[in-house]
Amino acid sequence: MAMLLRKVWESVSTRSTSSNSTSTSISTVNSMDRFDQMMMYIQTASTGEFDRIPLDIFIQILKILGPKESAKLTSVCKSWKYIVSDNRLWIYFLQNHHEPWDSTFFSETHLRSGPLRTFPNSVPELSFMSIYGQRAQVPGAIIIDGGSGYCKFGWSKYSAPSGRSATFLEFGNIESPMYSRLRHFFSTIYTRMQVKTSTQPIIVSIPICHYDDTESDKAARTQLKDAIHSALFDMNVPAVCAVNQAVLALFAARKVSGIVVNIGFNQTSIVPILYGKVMHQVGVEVVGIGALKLTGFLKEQMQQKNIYFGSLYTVRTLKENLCYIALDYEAELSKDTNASFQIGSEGCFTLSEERFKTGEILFQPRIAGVRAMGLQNAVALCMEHCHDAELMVDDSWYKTVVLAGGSACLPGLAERLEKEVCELLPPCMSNGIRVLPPPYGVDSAWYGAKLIGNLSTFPSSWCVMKKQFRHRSRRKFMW
Amino acid sequence: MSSSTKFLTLKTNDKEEFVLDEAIAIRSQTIKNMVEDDCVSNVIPLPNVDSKTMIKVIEYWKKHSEEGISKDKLMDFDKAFVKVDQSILYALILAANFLNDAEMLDMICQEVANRIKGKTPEEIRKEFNIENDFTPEEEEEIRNENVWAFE
Repeated sequence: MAMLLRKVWESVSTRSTSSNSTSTSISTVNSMDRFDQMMMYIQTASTGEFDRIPLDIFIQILKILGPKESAKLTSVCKSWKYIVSDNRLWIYFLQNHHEPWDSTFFSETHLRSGPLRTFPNSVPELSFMSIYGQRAQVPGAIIIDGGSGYCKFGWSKYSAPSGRSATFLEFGNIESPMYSRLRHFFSTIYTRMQVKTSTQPIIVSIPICHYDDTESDKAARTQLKDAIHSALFDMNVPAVCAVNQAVLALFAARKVSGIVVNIGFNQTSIVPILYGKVMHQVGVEVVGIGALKLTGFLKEQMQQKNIYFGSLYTVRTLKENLCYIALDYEAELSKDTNASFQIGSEGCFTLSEERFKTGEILFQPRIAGVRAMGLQNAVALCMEHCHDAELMVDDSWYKTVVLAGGSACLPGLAERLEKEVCELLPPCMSNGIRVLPPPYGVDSAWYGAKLIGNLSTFPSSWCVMKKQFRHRSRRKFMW
Repeated sequence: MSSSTKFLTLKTNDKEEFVLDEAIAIRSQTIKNMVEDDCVSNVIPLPNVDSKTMIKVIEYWKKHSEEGISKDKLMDFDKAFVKVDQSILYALILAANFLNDAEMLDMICQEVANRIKGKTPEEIRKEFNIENDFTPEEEEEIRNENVWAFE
């Protein structure tokens, strides 16, 4: 823990004091400088008898006092203000906060200035004391992540989504810019959460659709975003932040650049993202296999084996609990892979090769009779496009692959995908590729939104306010 | 008293000597390290502690080394122990820090924290005899920066 803190301290002081150099030796010197400075300060300014107390013990007392009491002490005298403002103290408080520290640190260093376009050249010096204070005052936001299959909704201040509903059953396709359907969808969720629309900002995910770089798709994307904004502002929501679902999932993994592989309800999308922006010009790949197809294929296999089941929900539960991805499919076939799972009143189900054959269709769609590209080929293709696009001097930005979506939780998927993609690409490209499992399971995008909602600069940095939106749409009509 | 009991002589910076059972004295990590490293002659000098403070420290060590003493009794003792003047409290902090007795240090830090807790900045200045070196404007600005803490 102490090591981590030290590292963080160094990285913070590197950022703040030397924008060009990142060598640790220099940053250590800088933090020493600040320490000396502080000592001098304490020695010259009189704090009465209290200055007999060594600095580290004073800090220990502040830690006992907690953030609120400590912050109050800034107004006692200059030297106390100096001591209390020390970033290390506030990093300690943030670490002991209910939000995970690495997420807080990531979001405050990467996301605080709002949606990113290019990487900021210099990061301004961060005061973690004011960040702590601002975070304490940020109003809670509503988060709605409407997937094509399931919608997750809840509060940014809560540790997890508070509810889910099956979007595909209740609302139909919420990916088309149909105002009335979107409005019905949002107002239903608000009613379910029992909250007034006018009370807090909202963060919504924009589904991954209309992904081509064509004029018509561009227009469709704008239309969808406008429809979402209109529906929400007409319901009197004060501020709206609409971010692409894949981007949110990437944030949840504490990255701003990379490739998100989202296994959705109907299809799987491979989305290249650079500094928080979907690279439509590079190309989003789509494979026509999603969660529904996987469940359907497992159902077929069970029927062939005359395994009786009550409903598709039974099959889905079995998929979630027994299925996995084999690292080596051929080798797995010769193994004994029997396993059982008990489902309430329905009894005990035993599956064998169906367990890994189901997920295998992501890599070999023809097993299920689907004519589609294998996931590994699609990801490799996307990486080739990223490489060819030459957006950055070095290629590392697209080498992190983050999995998202419920079916991406199948054990073994990350390892298998990493292995296959590396085999497909030349060594210069495959070097350094890492595939990460979904950071928060099914709820990745929701957690990514939570990072935004708890930012010290929220809502102003990320949201469109009602007035702004109205003003903008009026201007559009004038043109 | 068993024959195996070893005694140490501790010498404070005002030349007072305290003879103490080693088992009690090694509550101080500093002394313990010296004993273990075998660099103890007859007298251990404690250049950072005066006799007045050392008497308090030894009182604390002895109480906390009593066999079979109940937790409640210790708590009552600790409560009374820290009810001292500011200056003695500081001296105890420095002594506990030098002697490296984490338990005692924690307890005193907690006491200092208790004396700060719930007070306005003005009350804290009074309590700790600190001079306010802010102009009224500066103080106002700092309060505005940290509104959340003053609410």
